[in-house]
Amino acid sequence: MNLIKPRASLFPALIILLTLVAPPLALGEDESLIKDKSEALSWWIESAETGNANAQYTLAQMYASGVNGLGVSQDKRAAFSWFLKAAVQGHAKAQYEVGQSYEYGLGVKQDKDVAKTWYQQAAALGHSEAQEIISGTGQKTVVPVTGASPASPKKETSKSEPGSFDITSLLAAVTIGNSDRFWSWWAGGAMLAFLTISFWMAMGNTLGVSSSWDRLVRWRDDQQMAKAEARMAKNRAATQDAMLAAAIEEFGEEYVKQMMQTENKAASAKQAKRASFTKVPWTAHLTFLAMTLVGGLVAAVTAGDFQIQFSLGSEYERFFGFGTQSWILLITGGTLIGFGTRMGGGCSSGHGLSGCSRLQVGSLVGTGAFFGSAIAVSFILEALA
Amino acid sequence: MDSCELFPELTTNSALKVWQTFYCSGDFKKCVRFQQSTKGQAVPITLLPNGKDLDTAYLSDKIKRSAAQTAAAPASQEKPQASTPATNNTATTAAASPAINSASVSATSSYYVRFKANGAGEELQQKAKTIIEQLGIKVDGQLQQPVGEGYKWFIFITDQASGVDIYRAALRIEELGGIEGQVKCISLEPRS
Repeated sequence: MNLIKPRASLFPALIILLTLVAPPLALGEDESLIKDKSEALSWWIESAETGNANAQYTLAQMYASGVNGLGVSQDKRAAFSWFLKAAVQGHAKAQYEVGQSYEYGLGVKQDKDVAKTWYQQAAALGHSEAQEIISGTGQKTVVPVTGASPASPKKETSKSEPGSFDITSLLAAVTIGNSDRFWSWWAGGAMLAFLTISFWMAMGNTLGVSSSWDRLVRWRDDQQMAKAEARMAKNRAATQDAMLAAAIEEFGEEYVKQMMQTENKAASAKQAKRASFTKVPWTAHLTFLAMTLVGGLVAAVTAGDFQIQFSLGSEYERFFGFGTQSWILLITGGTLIGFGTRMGGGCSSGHGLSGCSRLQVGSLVGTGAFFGSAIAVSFILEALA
Repeated sequence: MDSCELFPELTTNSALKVWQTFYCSGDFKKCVRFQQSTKGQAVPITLLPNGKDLDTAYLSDKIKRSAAQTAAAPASQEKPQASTPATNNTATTAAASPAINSASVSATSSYYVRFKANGAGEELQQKAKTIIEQLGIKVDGQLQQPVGEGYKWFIFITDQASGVDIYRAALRIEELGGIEGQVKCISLEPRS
């Protein structure tokens, strides 16, 4: 009896191949996303006009660099105007940009003294580059965001200020400069489907990140179970004897005897498919999880977006703060998710990809609960903020 | 049951189908394997539905010893409740409890052992005979009986043997494959 299927060894190779090949192939343009971006632009304008400093800053960035995909042409005066509106509301980044505008005469008459006052205000709010300029260590050759180069906004937005609201990092990533590439929705969907199906075909088992993590954590148990399976496979006669003895102990010989005398149709041993806990060895799960990280890295590098940063994102920081507190909250949340996924028998990948594709009712309900609660929490947090 | 590693084992062997009757097809919620899997826990293949762990080597020895003690065993025993098997949800090692002696009586008897295979099953018959004899059971006679559609009954009449050894033989014969249905074993000297 061969309980460990040899095809399991195919999966690591398959997943590595998929990880390396898929991201570059899937990068492309998407008209529907461009449409979404247009809608996003309308939202920013509307929000900026109602006095939202973050929206004003974002809009100013768009005018400063020009965003072809959104039909926003470069307009230094408009950029300065919006930067100024945000700056007077105490927006540190905007204050820095106003300082830059005055220093280099971008959209406003050059005035280094006025520029210095704006740098001082920004520095007082903790803006690191403004502090460097004030202290005399700043890079005077830095091209401001309101300049001709569109490269600065992305760099700037990666450094979120405390309490700042900077969703432009997302928008800028898909619209500005070399980052005007992204995963097409259809390619991403197709790749996920391919991954799910290929995992099933190669392993005869469903895909799930939390389950894989669970298996990885308990790799010692996995090894012991594999040994037990191998021992049973090797000692068939002894195994049958042991099971027979256990059956007699549990039910009594009379019941076993009745089974032997009844002409029931026992399935042929050849027909029966023996499942195996270890048919997907823990090393395959390790490969899968490692490749999710490598896949993300490959996608970021091929898209030209790769950068190391320790910010959890401006949206996250807007709600949960930054620094140690935010990391504690993140780890706590992750731990709770871990408990939840094990209680629910899987996470969004297991239920969402594997379960829903098999029309499992529990998975459909589970996935609905995942996304439904996420949407509800988003609204609640937004209302509380 | 699709993901249960033990389920095929319990359904392909006639002597072990009693597990299926009481747990898989019966009150499956009492199956500790089922309970453990629904909690998202790994289910070792050695875990039996009643929560006991299969100690292969130890039980194998016990069965052999039991077979040697069969003649002295009493014939009567009490049947467990059909709807509620004697479930022990506490995972214990079966080897730690008297696996055979307390439950098995295994009085000796001559046995009628029969299985169906296609007409070219002589080799299978020879292998089956070898299995029976290897378990220390003397074969008094063997015959073949055509049943149509190219199939035959292959029948053995044994000398005195314990029920446990006969069941062991049946399990091994079924493991050979090529058998249609199950191996049927009938005691020719029913207990009073």
